[in-house]
Amino acid sequence: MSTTEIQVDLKRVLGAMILASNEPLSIRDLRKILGDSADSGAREFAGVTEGAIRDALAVLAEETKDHAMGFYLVEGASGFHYQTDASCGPWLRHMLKLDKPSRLSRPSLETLAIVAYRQPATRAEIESVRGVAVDHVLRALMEMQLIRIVGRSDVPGRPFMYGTTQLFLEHFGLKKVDDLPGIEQLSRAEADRIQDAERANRAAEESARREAESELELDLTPDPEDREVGPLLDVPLEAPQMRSQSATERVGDPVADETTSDHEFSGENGADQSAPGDNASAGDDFDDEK
Amino acid sequence: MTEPTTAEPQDYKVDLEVFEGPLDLLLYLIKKDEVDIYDIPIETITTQYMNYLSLMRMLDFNIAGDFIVMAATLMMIKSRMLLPVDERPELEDEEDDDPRWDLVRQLVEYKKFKDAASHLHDLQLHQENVFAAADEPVEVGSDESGVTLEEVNIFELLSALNTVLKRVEKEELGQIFAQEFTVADKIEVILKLLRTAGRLAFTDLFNDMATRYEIVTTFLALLELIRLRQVDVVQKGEFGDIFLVNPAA
Repeated sequence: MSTTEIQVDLKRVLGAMILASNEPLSIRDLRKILGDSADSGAREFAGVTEGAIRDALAVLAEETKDHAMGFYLVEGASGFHYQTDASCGPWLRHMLKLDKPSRLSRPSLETLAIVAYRQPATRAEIESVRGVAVDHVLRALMEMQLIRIVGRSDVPGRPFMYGTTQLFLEHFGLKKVDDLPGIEQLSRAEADRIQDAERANRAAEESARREAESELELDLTPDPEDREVGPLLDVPLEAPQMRSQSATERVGDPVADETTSDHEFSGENGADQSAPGDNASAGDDFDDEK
Repeated sequence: MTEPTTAEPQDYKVDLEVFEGPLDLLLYLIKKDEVDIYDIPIETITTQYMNYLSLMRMLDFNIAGDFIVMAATLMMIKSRMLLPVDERPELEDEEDDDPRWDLVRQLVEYKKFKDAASHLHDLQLHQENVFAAADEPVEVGSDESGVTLEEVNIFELLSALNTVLKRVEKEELGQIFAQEFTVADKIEVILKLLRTAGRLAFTDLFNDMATRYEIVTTFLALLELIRLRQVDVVQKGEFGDIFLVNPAA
């Protein structure tokens, strides 16, 4: 074989390796195998970069999809593998003699969604969103190995914090947690950011009002110290303009605006989340701990 | 809505929590009445919430404390709404002119995660038809922690039950019945009906029934069958007629 011919065919070699492998292969795995193969004489791709592999796989993935062969190449949570087309599922389930698939119940899915989007999340945080006790649901999800304990929070009582597992990603066909739809809006980072913004907004408004008041009734202001308490309270804050609106005017069809005005309300769990030390980065400290 | 009467002695206690929580009931009522979530008519919604709670008590459901807490919250909001703003007692965690606001925020936040959960459900349905060449199909263990009513939620079933109960209300006065039916009997009856008919309207299930006791027993049997995934309920459009079907294979 000439060199040019072989270089065109990196894609073919990769495709063959993934098909013959018993488990999904990551780009790093593939590069290592190609490098190590040089020892047995197959030197052609010993020096390819991960970038070149990624490009070749992208082309291959496109091609397998286009050819409608009933299967195609995908990148899953643990690497590249072939999977069958979902439209063929009913026949495959019959051929493989599979029972009715076990699906997660709605209480489980809701709990799982909160853990997934807000991880690491404590039981109290999950319960404050769902409005019901979730201990038995958490236990069931742990048994199914869809979630795991990822550490303990720094809030009093040092409650466990939960996160999702590799099996979670595989069960839902996700590559990584960031691939969850709408993760930007529902993530804790976003909730915290909004809350901080609202708090700043609120504090600014408060101080402006205080200034205005002190100008008006300078002598009547009983004790300025009292007023300091308001903006410092560690409570969820919402945008002031929304508050007055809800109390006085009737907003035209705000339900339709539900998603667009999200950030006014994400502060709901803010009180817990902003408790000292209980932030998104807290989980990192606990990984070695059991 | 009916007033709670005597609790029927039951072998089968329905654990409401495996179906829905108090926030689900509120979202259901808000949707049903087509009211503005940011401007909830608290009086009406509270009354309806209490009616559902009564109905569930009459059915002798296991009602978790969370439902009672929500009832208390609604009552408190309702009473605060009646007071002029400057006469309301100070509440530490209410930093708002509108007593409903905390609840609204909680509902909106919860709704977002409900939507996220339904997206996960879709992913799950897709994934169960996908098989990978490389490894074993990913199957999680069976989930005993809750029940999914795919199309109809428990509150719609309760609302349908309430309609049926209203029909017999008058006839029942002053009658004393021996307990002729058990939930176990009614489970058999429903399964037999469904086997022959294949599909059954919810209201037809109660066609020949004249007593509240029989209706309630039948309803509890239906819930048990749903829990055991022996029966699926489907609905013709939102808030439409409800049908019982054999569970999809």
